[in-house]
Amino acid sequence: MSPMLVATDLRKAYNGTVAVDDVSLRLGRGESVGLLGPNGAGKSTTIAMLSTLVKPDAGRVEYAGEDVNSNPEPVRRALGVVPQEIALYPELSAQENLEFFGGLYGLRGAALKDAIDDALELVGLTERRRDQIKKYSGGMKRRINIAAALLHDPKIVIMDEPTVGIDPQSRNHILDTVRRLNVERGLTVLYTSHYMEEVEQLCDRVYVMDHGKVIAEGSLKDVRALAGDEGTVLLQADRYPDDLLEALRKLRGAGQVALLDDGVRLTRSGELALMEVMHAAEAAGVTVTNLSVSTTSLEDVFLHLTGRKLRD
Amino acid sequence: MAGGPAEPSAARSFPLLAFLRKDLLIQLRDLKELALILLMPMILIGILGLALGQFIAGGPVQLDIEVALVQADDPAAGRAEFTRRLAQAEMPLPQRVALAAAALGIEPREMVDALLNSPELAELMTIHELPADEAHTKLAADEVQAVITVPAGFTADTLSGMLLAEGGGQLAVGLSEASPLRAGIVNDIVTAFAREVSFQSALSQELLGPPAVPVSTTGTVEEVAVGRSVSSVAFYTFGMATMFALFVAGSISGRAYLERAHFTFERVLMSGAKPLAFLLSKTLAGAVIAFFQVMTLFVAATLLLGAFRGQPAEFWFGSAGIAAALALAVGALGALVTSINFRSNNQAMSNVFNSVVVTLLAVLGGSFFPVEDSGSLLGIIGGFTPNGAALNGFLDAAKGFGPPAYGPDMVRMLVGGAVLLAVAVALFPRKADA
Repeated sequence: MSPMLVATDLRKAYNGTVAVDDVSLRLGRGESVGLLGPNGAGKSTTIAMLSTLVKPDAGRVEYAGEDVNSNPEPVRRALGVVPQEIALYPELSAQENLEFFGGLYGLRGAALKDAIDDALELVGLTERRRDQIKKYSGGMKRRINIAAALLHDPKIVIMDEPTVGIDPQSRNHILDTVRRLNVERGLTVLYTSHYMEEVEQLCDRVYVMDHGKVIAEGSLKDVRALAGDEGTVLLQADRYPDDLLEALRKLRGAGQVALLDDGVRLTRSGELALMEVMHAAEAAGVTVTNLSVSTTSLEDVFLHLTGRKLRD
Repeated sequence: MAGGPAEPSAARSFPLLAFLRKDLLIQLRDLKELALILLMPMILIGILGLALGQFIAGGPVQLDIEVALVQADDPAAGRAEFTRRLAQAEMPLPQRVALAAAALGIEPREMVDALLNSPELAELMTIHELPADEAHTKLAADEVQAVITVPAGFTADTLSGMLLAEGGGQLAVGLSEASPLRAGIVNDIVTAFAREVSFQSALSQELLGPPAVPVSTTGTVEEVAVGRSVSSVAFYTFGMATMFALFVAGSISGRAYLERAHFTFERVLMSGAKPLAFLLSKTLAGAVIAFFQVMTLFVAATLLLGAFRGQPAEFWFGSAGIAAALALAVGALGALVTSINFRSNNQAMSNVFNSVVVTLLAVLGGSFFPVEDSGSLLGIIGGFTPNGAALNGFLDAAKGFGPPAYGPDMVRMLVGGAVLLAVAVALFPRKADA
């Protein structure tokens, strides 16, 4: 798949704090790529550099083989960026917001009207186009936020956490919209989220970021394999003393052992026997209330790589 | 969304109209802001104009002008001198007799005394008869605002002027430069007196030509031109309109910062619009809003309170020009505060501007009380504030004076606005992450 957007060794620091460190990624034509990581991992700064809003301290971004910092216009025309924030004017209606942003891209008259009609239809808000944004629900605002990024018919859509803080119905609508953009219209999508299941549903390939670095990349299958194919074990008990955690870490075949809200989670290889887990719990003097095994998810990958949950 | 990415067009490279439409729509839908810039000043115009009107020219004014009167004339000697001049004049005896009789009925010194001691002037000024040296010492110290000298020979010269068409009596007036308004009023009174004497001379001798009143000064003399009076409601309409126009700068800059905080600014930049186009759009939006705000207040104050009822079209055209200059200065001020907000990455400057700077400018510019005569320094500083310059211009327009009177005020606003805008442009970050 020919790369459209390529970032190489990007680095950005703010007041001495490194936000992005040596990040490289590429987007092929028609791909749907996930950018995963917890809050503060450097995803938004990476997106800002890809979209020319922030100049990297080091590294370069190329669009169609051309450095975007020396010539930002082509990539800006090709990109539709959906920011994490609701970047709309609440006092204006959806129609007026879209007219304004479409106007900035040089759309006028029938072309502007068609683009607005199409974008509103895509996000399912044609009937509410005359309402002020401040009267919309959170999910509807996010859908217009997406529509505003699509008016100029971009080739690449970058979505930064587009489903944060919304109801399940709106979330499903947005996920469906992203799928349609990628599958039906052939747009390249870079989708950032810390909801693993969204990325698993939408993306062919993922980059996992933590502390400003890419800690894993590849197809979903490749990345899952990093945590082993045997899934994770969730141990729930009446208490979780340090002795228990130490004993679990010493088990053969145990990967990361982390005490989370819902219990102790272990990533494992095929060698980890559940009976060994039960024995370790018994030796630590705890009463096991539940022991379950789940298939490997991206959440497990992150846990395996960092020892932390993605949403910590 | 078909047909490939949008190509740039001429409109795209100059999106100011799109910005302007957006900013005006937001302003119109912000009821709180509308109340601040329209309703609040109307309420204050009503309260101040009606309750505090006595402090303004429309009501009885207590100026308390201190005037020194120096009497150097000897009326008896003057009358003798006039008799001598009459005797030397070439005219028929009956006429000479008639003029001598007429002279008996004219007392120049008493005319001056009658003027200065009239009940009307007593409300304005207090007369102190002093020796010349003491009078000028007090003038230099601004303890008196004018010295009127009745010079030696005044009686003889006045009678000669009135009856023989030879010269004329001249009062000398020394004016304080520290209190130009008060000094100017005295000057006007003496000038009016001179015209009266001249008129009587004309009647007596059928000779025209006003006797000049030489005005000696200790410094600059500010002529107080006589124009239409300005009511207290009109004054406070000017004062409140110019003051509340400044709030537009604060609110436009505050909203601009919110655009950055809510990432609409970034979305604008992503479209390819230049950061300076964004800043200029704020300048333009501030100017347009301030212009319509001021003119709306003028019209509303006229309809509701009669502020400018009966003013001719020239006043409205002149006021529109002054309001436009003020609006551009306000727009530039808004751009400057926007730049400071963006540069400092917080909205504090807008808050400081609205709470502190506007109040300071309002006081300096004379929005609450006239500063023209409250000490020259304050008056001069006030004239260089956008609201003060506009207020002066509006007052001149209301008095019926034309562009030569308020033109310099407009120039001050436009030049000041250009300087503010240049500083704003220099400060404004060129990148989203600056």
